[in-house]
Amino acid sequence: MAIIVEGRIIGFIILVATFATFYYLIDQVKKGRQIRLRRLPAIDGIDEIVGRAVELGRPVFFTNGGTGSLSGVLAPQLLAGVRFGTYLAKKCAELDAKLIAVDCHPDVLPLLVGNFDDAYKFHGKQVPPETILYIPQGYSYTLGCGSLITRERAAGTVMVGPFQHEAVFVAEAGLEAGALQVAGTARSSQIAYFAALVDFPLIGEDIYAGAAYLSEIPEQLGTIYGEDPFKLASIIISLLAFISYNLNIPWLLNLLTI
Amino acid sequence: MSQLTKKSTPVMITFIIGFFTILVYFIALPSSVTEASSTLNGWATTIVALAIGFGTIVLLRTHTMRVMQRRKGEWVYSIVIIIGILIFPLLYLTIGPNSYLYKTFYSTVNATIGASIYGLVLFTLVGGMYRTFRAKRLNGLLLMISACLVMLQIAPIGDAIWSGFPILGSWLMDYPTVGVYRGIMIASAFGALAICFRTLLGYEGGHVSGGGE
Repeated sequence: MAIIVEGRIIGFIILVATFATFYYLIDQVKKGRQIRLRRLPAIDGIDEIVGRAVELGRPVFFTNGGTGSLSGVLAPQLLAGVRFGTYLAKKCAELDAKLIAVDCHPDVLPLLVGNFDDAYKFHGKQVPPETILYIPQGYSYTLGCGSLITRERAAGTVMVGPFQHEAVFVAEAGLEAGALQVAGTARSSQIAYFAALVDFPLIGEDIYAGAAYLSEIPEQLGTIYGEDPFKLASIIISLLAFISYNLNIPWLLNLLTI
Repeated sequence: MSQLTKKSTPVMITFIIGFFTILVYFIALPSSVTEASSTLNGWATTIVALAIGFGTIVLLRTHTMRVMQRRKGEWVYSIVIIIGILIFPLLYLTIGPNSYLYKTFYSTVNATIGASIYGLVLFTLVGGMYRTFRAKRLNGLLLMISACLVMLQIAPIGDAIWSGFPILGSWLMDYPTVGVYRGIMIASAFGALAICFRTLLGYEGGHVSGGGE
């Protein structure tokens, strides 16, 4: 009887290899190894948004996407969104900027409440009432976000998480309100809209890297650094698969399916 | 309960359940173990249901406060929301989801409002699309050209103008688009793995925050 489920051997090897690499690099960072990472413009964009909001006396808007749940495949994107929201809350608490956060995931809401509470208490403050609003998923969420941005004339918007059709609507509302916008999603169908409509787009994996960066825990940077060898390996495997398919070398293609 | 226990207990539960779920997915284990994993998934559904209940309570509390404070321009809408939140579960529990009244309420209120909102959203979406496809920058120009080609592939007029439009549109969708999507998906998958790893080992911390530390 096989130990590993058939068809999942390569997946298992990749999982073990990535986890081992992440663990090793976190350990290295703990021991003092310096890791230099390219700073994402969107991270600076968040600081700029909060500063702008204070100068203009207008609020900052945050939302973490209109789809998914913590028990599904979109959970990592939601957790990344929570991390961006927490950083934003910390900045808003520090500079006394008004923050409006909209969440449509009932399971993520307690996380946002807890993290925002921590962020404000870090600066010795309480979360102002109605900072976090719950609007159920669907068109009520889409319209709610759009109308809040327009009505409150948000100075800036930060939108990170799993977005679907509402991406273009909310980004458009931000554009109409003249807001400086940071937005990112790993949902490939919506990336193009954010890339074209917002000032600081985060494309796909950028949201996870940004989340690790914003956590302000140096060890987390080890995991971002650890992704690179595997991305390089993926490119090489893709090229090998392309060559083996076109030159009719089936064993290589079969190897990837074991 | 100390702050340390408050943080370490959820991290430990996350680690044990996460590790167990990964094991069950990859390792060929006896059926009793896989059944236990399915039961755990059922627990996740229950927890999400509890969270939905929490969300509903927050919503009710917020809008009840607005009504009590008679907040200008808002409290009337809050009454509508409170009625909406209460009436559907009440009808569901008393007369059931197959009753005429429940179905009428759903189709004449919920479905009509949904359709109306869709109509409103559509105009803004068109505005957003227009801005997206404006050729202000090179990426906007490329997006506009690709979108036009795909539209001409789908719309019958494209084929009528030139028989090459459907071929060009299909090629664009089947090769460059799929290639780019897969590239983004692979990179995102590694990013997701990293965030899962951090969550499993308690480095992420976002899911165990609260209490003002």
